[in-house]
Amino acid sequence: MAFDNLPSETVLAIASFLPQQDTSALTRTSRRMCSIAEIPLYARVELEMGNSSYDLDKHPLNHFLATLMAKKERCTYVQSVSIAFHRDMLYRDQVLLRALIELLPCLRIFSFKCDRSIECCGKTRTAARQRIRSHRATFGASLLASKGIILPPCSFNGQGSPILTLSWKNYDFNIPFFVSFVSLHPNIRCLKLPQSLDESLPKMDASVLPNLESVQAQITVVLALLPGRKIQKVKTHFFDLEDDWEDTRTDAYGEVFKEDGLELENIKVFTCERSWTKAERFMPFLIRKMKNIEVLDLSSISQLEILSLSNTSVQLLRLEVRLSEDNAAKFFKFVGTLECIECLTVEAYRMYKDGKQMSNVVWKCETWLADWKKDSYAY
Amino acid sequence: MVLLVTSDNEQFTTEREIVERSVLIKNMLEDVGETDQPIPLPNVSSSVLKKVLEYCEHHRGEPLPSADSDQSQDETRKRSTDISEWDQKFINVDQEMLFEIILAANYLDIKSLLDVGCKTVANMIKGKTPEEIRKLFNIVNDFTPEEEAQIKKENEWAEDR
Repeated sequence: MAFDNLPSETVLAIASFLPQQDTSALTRTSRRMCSIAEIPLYARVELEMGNSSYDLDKHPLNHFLATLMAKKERCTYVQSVSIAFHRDMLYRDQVLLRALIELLPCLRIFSFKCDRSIECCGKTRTAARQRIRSHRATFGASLLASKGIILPPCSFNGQGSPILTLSWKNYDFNIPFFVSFVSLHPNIRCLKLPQSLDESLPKMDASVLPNLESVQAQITVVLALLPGRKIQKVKTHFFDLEDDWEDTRTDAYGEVFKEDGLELENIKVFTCERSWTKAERFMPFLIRKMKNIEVLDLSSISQLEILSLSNTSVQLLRLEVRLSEDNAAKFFKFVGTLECIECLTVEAYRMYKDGKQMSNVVWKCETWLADWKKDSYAY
Repeated sequence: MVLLVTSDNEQFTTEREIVERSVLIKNMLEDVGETDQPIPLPNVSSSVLKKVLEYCEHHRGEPLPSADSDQSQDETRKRSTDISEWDQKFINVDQEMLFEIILAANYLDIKSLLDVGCKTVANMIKGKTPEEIRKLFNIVNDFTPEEEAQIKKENEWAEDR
C-alpha cells in the first residue's frame, strides 16, 4: 500500500489535519493529489496581509481572486474565509474584499481581523475612485469585466448574502466600516466581537442584522444590539473596573443598566466569561430581567445572590464554586425551574434536582453549550 | 469472546469489550446478538489486525466519540495534531503498515485510531515542499512543466505570508 493508492476519503481525512500551506504543497505533488486536496484547500481559506502586500503583485487577496477566476467552480468550495490585515487596510483592499465575498455563494463563516487602521473612504472618495480606476487597469480588467461582479451594490446574484457567522476584530474599531459591512449581510446569525471595545456600538436600526441569534461581545455592545433583535445566546464580559481611571466607566455602566427597555426576555443562554468585582453589582439587575433564560453560566462570577434568580426560568446553572448539597437544595427549592447545577471547581460535577449526582438529562441547549465550549477565543 | 477471521484466513479470539471499539463490529454484534460464528474481515490482514487489536486493548473502556462530535471541530482549521505518547510509539511503523492501519481503521470504523494514523501522516507532510512530499511517498510527478508552473502561481495566496 502506497500513499498514492489511498482512497480519496482517506487523503481528505489526512488533509483535514494539515495547515493551509501544507495542503497547498500536497496539491502541487501530482494531478490526482491536486484534484483531491484542492477541495479542502479552498474550503477554509486564510489570507494573511502583511506589509509586503501593499504591492498588488504580493497581495494574497488579489492572488486568491485571480485563482478563483481561473476556475469558477472553486468559488463553490469556499465555506470559510479568514482574512487578517497586519497593515493599514486601504480602500482598494475593501473593494477587493467585497468582490471576493460576492463571488462565494457558499461562504458561511467570515472572519475579519485588522491590527491597524482602516482607510475611511468618506474623506477621500475622489482619491478612492481614482484608485479603483487604476486598480481596474492593473488587475481588475478580467475580474470586473466578468458578469456578476459589478461593484456596489452587493447583489449576491439575488440569493442574498450567505454569511451566517461573522467574527470581527479591529484593534482601532472603525464603526462606520463595521456597520456598512454588516448592513450588506442580513443573514448573519452569529456575531463575534471578541475584543474589549473601547467604545460601544451605537444603537443600530433593527433592519441591520435582523436575524442575529447569537452574540459574543462586551456587555455594553450586547445591550446595544438587543433591542429589536431576537438574540437568544449571549456570551459576554465586563471591562476591568478595578483601576481608578475606570471609575468613569463604572458610571457609564450604571447609566446603561438604568435604562428601561433593555430587551433581555429573548435570551435563553447567557454566559459571562470575565468579570470583576465592581462590575458584578450589575449582574443581579441583568439576570432579573432574563425571564426566559434556560442556561446561565456564571462561572466567572465570585458571588451570586440567590434572590436575583427569582424572576428567571433557569434550568441549568453553572457556577465556579463548590456547592454543598444543602446549599444546592436551597437553590432547587427557590428556583422551581432549576434542574441542574454544574459546579466547575477543580473537578466539574453536576447536581440534579432529584438529589442524584449523575443523570442523563438531555438539555435542549446542550448543543449550543457545545458550540460555546469549542470556541477558541484569543483576546 | 468473539472470533475474527482475517483476509489471510487467520483466526483471532478476543474479548467483546476490546473488539467493540470498532463501531462496525459493535453494530454487527448488536444485530446478531451472541454468536459463535466467526466474523470475516476480508479487508484486513492478520499482521494489521494484530496491530489494531493491540490498539483496541490499550484503549479499552475509554468512551467512544459520538457521531457528530467532530463536525464543529471541522470549522476551525487549526486542528491539533498532538498524539499521546503511547499512540506515537504504537504508530511508529513503516509507511506500508501505517497506511494499512489507516485503511483498516476506516473500514472497521475506529475513529480514534483513524485520527492517530491521519495525524501521523499529516505530521510527516508538514513543512515539506511538494518535491519533498513526492520523495517521501514515492508520488510520481505527472504534471507538465507548464501545469506545474500554473498551479504554483494559482496557489500563491495560500503560501505567501
